[in-house]
Amino acid sequence: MSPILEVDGLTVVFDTDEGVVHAVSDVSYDLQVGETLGVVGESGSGKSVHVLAMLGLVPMPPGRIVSGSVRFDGKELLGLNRRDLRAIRGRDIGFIFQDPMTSLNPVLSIGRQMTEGLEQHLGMSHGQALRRAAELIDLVKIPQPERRLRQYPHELSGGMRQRVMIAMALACEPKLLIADEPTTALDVTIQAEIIALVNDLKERLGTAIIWITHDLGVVAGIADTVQVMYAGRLLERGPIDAVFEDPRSAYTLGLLRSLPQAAGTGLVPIEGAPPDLRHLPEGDPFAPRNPYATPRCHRETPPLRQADASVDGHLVAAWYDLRQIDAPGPPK
Amino acid sequence: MSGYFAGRLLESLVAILGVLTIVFIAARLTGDPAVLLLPISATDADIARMRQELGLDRPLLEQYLAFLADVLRGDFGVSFEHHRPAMQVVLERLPATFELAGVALLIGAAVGIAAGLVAALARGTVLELIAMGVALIGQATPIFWLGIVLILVFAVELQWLPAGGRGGLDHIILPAITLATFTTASIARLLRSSMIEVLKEDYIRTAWAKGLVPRIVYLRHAARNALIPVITMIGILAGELFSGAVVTETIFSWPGVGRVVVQAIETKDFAVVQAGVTVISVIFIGFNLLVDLLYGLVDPRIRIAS
Repeated sequence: MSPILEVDGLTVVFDTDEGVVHAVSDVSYDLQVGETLGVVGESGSGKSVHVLAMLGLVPMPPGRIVSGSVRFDGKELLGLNRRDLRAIRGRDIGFIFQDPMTSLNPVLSIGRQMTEGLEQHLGMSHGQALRRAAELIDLVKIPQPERRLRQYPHELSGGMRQRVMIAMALACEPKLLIADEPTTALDVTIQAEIIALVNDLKERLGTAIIWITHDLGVVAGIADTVQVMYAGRLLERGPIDAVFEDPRSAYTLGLLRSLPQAAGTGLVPIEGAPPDLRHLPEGDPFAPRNPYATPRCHRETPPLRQADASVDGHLVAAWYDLRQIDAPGPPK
Repeated sequence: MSGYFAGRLLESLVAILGVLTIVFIAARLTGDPAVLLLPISATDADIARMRQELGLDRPLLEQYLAFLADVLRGDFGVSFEHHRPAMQVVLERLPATFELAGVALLIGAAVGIAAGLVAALARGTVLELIAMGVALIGQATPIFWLGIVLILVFAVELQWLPAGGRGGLDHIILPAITLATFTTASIARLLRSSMIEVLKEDYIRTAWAKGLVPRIVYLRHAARNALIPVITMIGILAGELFSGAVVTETIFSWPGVGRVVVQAIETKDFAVVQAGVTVISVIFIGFNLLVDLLYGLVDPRIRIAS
């Protein structure tokens, strides 16, 4: 199976008045056809910026791609002219954003917003596009599709709006769906419905998905592969079970321990705060908060490489070895 | 929608009643009409007879109700100057005012919207600087000064266009430009800032993410939202333009409502002043009503909320 997306050494910065913000540093990974990748990290980890930047959806300036290569379906995306990039956006790569209220245009009907991509990318007539839009609304399990097409975003509930966003993103049957915190703005019950819906659609359409979230719990419910980002870097990546059962990055371990557990041991927060992206520390960016950090962690940046004695493709960027530390229990 | 419309219509009627009341009170405050109407040599007996004739000896409330009854019949009294019904004098001038206002508004909306869009989309370029510099000057220039300069340059020096009066197409050019300058500048500046704000919205990022061409993103997705505040402003400006541009009409001897009211004030022709102020108010309030209704067409959220 060949990868649909190959990211190699992607580095993105923002030139601001207060200095250069290192948003994404040397990120590399492959995404296979039909694979669902969960990208986890907190605000400012570069998890959203790195995908937005590769498709030219970050304002440049101030944003700037310093180096790297991103190949989508064999075609280099970085440096692509706007026209060719537009032909890919919405056609081969669909997007879902965080807040479906602000991400849908308030003054355009659902029908208009659903059909315009179909008309532009697939050359459908408005009538054809409307019929297709009704099918898509039905696909995301919203009742009365024809009526919905005449409605406006404010007439729908939050969950329904996000379903419309999903239908819109899937309209042209993209090869890749990028979902940027699609459930963060929704109630927990609606979240579960959306995740179930995407899982169902994934099976049926075979679309590859990049699901960006700060919530490891959500990732567990949807992803095949998970990668953890921190301060613009990839700290750990691997098959979902391997990473959850045998985390090798202290940051991943910290994230897992800060999840609510069934048998009420209480939440264990990660001490400290993420680094200032304008003045990144030497070495491993997580080292200042890492109780297991070795002297080397503060000097040299660890490369992302195969974790010892774990499944193939379980990668970690760490000089320390988490297996030699007496888990479980909160780090002292 | 019909409930919303009925509510707004009722509000407008109340506003017009308020204007009529102020007109009535103002007319009573500016001096005894009987004294003003009669020659200086009139005796007290003459004045008393005149007061009785005009109904000024009756209680104020009775006078007020009689005034409203007259207004409902369209009777605003007779112009002393023109010896015809005052309302007729005012209404005769309406086409001239509407013609000038219509042309000025068209210029203002077309040029203003174009300039505002260009300035917003050409952010940080010389083009934006020029467009906004001109707009700022246009908004700050006093109308009477601009009108006089235009007359001096194009009518007196170059003799390309007539200096005043109403006639062929050439007569309307200078007053329309004078009147449109402020409107154009206001619309351009508001649309630019509104557009810049809208372009930062999440739904614009969605539109780009859908791979839509810039024309559709800017015009369909951004401009439609950015125009909402601009429509309000156009409505307010239209109300001002169509209710008679006093200064412009006076400078260019344009025979409109604004000019006839000013003339009536000078000659103390109160019936015409009352009729003129009433017509101006009704037009102004009518335009505000129209804007609120147009709003619903552009912004579906208002359509439903009502």
